[in-house]
Amino acid sequence: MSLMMKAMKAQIKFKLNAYSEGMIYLIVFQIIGVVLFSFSGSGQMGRGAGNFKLEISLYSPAGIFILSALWMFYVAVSLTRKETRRELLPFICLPKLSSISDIIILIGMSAFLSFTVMLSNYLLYDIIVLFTKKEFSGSMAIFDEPKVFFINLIGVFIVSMTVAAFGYLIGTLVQISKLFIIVLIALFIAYVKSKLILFIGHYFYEQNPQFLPFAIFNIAIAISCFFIAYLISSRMEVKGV
Amino acid sequence: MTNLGIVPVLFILLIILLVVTLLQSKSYRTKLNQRPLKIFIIVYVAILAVAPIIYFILPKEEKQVLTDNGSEKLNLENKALREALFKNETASIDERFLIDEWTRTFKEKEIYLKMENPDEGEKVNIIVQTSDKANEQITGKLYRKNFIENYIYIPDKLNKPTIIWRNEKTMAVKNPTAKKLSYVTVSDKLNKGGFNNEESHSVVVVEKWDDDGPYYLLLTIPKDVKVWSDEGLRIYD
Repeated sequence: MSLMMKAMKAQIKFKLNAYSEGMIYLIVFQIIGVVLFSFSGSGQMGRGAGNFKLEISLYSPAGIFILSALWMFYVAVSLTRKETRRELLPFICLPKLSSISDIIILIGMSAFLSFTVMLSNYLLYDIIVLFTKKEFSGSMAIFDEPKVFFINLIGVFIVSMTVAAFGYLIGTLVQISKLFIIVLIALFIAYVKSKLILFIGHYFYEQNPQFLPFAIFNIAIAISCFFIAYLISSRMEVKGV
Repeated sequence: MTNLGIVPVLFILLIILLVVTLLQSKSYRTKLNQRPLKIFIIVYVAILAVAPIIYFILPKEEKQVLTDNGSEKLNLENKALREALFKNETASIDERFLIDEWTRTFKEKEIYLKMENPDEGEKVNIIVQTSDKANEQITGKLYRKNFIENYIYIPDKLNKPTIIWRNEKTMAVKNPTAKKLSYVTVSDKLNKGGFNNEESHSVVVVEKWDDDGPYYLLLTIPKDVKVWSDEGLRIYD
């Protein structure tokens, strides 16, 4: 193993220990999600008239995932903060590898997030079975459709990685200048309802997206964001030296 | 109209803000020790790993969603029931469709059929047959067709219509009151439709006859009794 790899491994191990406290936030967010969504579910559908009204409550990982994605974004942004870097600087022998180890940690955290999101959903299902007398219909759980579980697990992983990449890039840009906050907010307001964003949202995320284009699109965005963030942070470190 | 859809989102954001603030203030004062932290994470992951197994083991009331074929089969049975009723071939009707049966002595020469609440509840279709027998009896048979909603077969959870005799000549039918049924659907799908989702159900074309409502009341009256109704009568050959 080269010296570089050894240094990288040591950095990752050290940073994982340093950031492991952040996992508590994720767990707290997920528990909040389980409690909140156990009352109402992720969605509801009603139909029927006259003699009969049918109400179907849908429970899915979507709600817990949104809460967990917020955590992922927060962690990614906080990794780029000057305070965090300064705290870790005395322990890091190769500062240039810091961004790469951050990216690896974010990918690892995304994997952890994906497993916990998909499984915490079952904690929610257990609560419904144990504490409510609701009747189930048309359920699609892991034992009925394992393929659905695994494809969505990968989907959650890919999206959380993209969220992490976005957060990391935004955090890095804001470290260059605080003005980027205003620029990013302006860009968000200007483009959130643009035809391009609506098309991307509809094609890649809304109903029945094809998995392969969805995966390629998100991975491409994640790689681009991580790469740009890496280039920027490397230049920042050179300037610092 | 006020849009209150934003309230739950604001509520969730408020809780998140409170939790983050609380955790941050705590973490400044007391740094969590690495060992309890790791134990906490391991315990949480272990609970999560067991959760699907618990869900699988726990007994729960579950209603199967019908397939296209299953739904079509039940619809065809409904069609056959209707045809049998209108063609007076009640002998061929499956017994499970019959939910109530009564007989009443009737000595009058005319009968008035009245709907108590025609604009409420689910429609009850009244079919009148004449009996060749020279007895003084009216027979009523209440049939319920296969009731399918959203690909869920609901066999016995609907309220039944009520039949009230206002006087010797007037029979009133009260449509059943509304009943609310709630089901829970759990899914590992992240979005509404799921990835690469091929529609599991084709679009079901509802035929004209299927507007009938779930109930048929078949009245068999003596031949010489005249039938009147405020709602009007449809005569079938």
